[in-house]
Amino acid sequence: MANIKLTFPSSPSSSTSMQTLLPLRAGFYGAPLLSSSPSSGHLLVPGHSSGKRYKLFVCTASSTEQPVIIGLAADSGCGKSTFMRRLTSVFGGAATPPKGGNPDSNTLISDTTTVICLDDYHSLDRNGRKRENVTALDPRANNFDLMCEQVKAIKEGRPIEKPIYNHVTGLLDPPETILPPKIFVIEGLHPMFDARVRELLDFSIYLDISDEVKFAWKIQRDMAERGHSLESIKASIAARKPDFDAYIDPQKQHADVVIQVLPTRLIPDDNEGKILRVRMIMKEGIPNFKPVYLFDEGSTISWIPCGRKLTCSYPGIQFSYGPDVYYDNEVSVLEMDGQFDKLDELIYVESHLSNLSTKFYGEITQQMLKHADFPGSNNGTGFFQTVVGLKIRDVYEALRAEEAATPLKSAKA
Amino acid sequence: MASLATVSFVASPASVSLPRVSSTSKISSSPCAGFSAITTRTCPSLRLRIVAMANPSSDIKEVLSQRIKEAEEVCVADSSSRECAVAWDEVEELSAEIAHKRVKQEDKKDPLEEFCKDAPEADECRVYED
Repeated sequence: MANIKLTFPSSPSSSTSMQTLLPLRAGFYGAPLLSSSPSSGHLLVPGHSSGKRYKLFVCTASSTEQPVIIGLAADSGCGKSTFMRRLTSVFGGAATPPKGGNPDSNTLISDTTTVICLDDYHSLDRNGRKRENVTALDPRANNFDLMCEQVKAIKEGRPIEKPIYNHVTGLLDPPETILPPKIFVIEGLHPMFDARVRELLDFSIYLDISDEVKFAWKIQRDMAERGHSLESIKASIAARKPDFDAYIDPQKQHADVVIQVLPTRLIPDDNEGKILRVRMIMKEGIPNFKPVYLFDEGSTISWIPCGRKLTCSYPGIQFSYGPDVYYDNEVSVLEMDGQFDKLDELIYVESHLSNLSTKFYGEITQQMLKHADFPGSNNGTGFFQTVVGLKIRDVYEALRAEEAATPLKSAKA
Repeated sequence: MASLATVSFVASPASVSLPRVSSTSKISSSPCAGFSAITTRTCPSLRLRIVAMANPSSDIKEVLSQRIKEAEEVCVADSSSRECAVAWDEVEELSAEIAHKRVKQEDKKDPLEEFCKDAPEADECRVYED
């Protein structure tokens, strides 16, 4: 049994050449390899593109699949959000906090997916931020160097000791060990802020909630709490807005998909925020990502499914689709305004959309029904979040397929 | 700061199972300080322990009300100042955490289901199909 240990050269320039190394596969050199240890290694072929020479090596190899790294920018805190639960559900299994660890850990782990909260990379805890007079939205409160280093380590298949930011106490707790999973999601305020971290992401999503909807949701969330009032909620949003617009909002332009949540146009002067208009803005030209379209790709369509074949209750559902330009990027926008009331409507809509990346007819409907109690299950937020989950699955499978093809290429070379 | 809701003196070697303790409470530093039930077998040298139990959910809510009041005071002077933003940011962080905890509580419905998620092969979790 090959029990090989890999020695990595220490110079920084060579670390990038590591990314071009061939993943180790069982049977690569004709000998089956042990696959028990979680850390993976890459076999360095002497005289490789870096031009350096190395002594020979030993690799503790195992699963050499490079984790797929997903970035999710959201302002609603971490980890337990509905989006993450839907996403992990697409891959199967429920995501739970790490067992036996810090009970205030923000991390969620399922069979295939690990979701970490970027608040864990705060360089300043709550007292520190008060002292330095910065909000959590400010990049000065976050350690991007550590974030980059650790996301890179996960991508290279190495476990990390990630700090824990305790939201209850506002302090930084001792680190927890995170093993590289198949799919690694970094969720928080700044996943796409740092250019180096952006390079590491295989797919990125930005959840853009408009001010009116944010206000309505925060009222629902906070009004029950003693101490909060309508004014305090309004003041809280307004006070954070300058930092939000300066640091968080610009990340939109870098995202592969932006899910924009706006108030409905179907009901004039609706301010309850119950009926939502949700737009999925999908960047064109992203590898392994095929934007969803309606009827005819690249054209502009306006569709009201409710009519003779489908009866909907007030206010109904309206779709539109078309190409657009978003922050100088070519995009396709699919928009849904209204609410699903019945199973029929859901399956009807699903059957008329194309490039949904479903593996079987009705997969999206099934996923939505599985989580019918989650918020957004009857409107575009739940629908598009589920679609994004399937798109991430596409990216994952495409990257796996690419990796499987590479050793064959190098064997020929 | 964790408020000590109850303080009780526990004299071992009675095998008393520790009440569920939150992470914000303090336990006297004995060699066997821990959250699980402590029996004489694991802690033969233990004679006297102080058990402190805090109620985490009411703590954070109190902190939230305090912070809201503070933020309102800070912002009276200048509502666009950095101090104001920082104060409200803290309020937002606490509100989000309370909401998350509430959702987590709602999720925990059936203790048996929770147990069976971890140990599906246990006897109690056997499923009979007709």
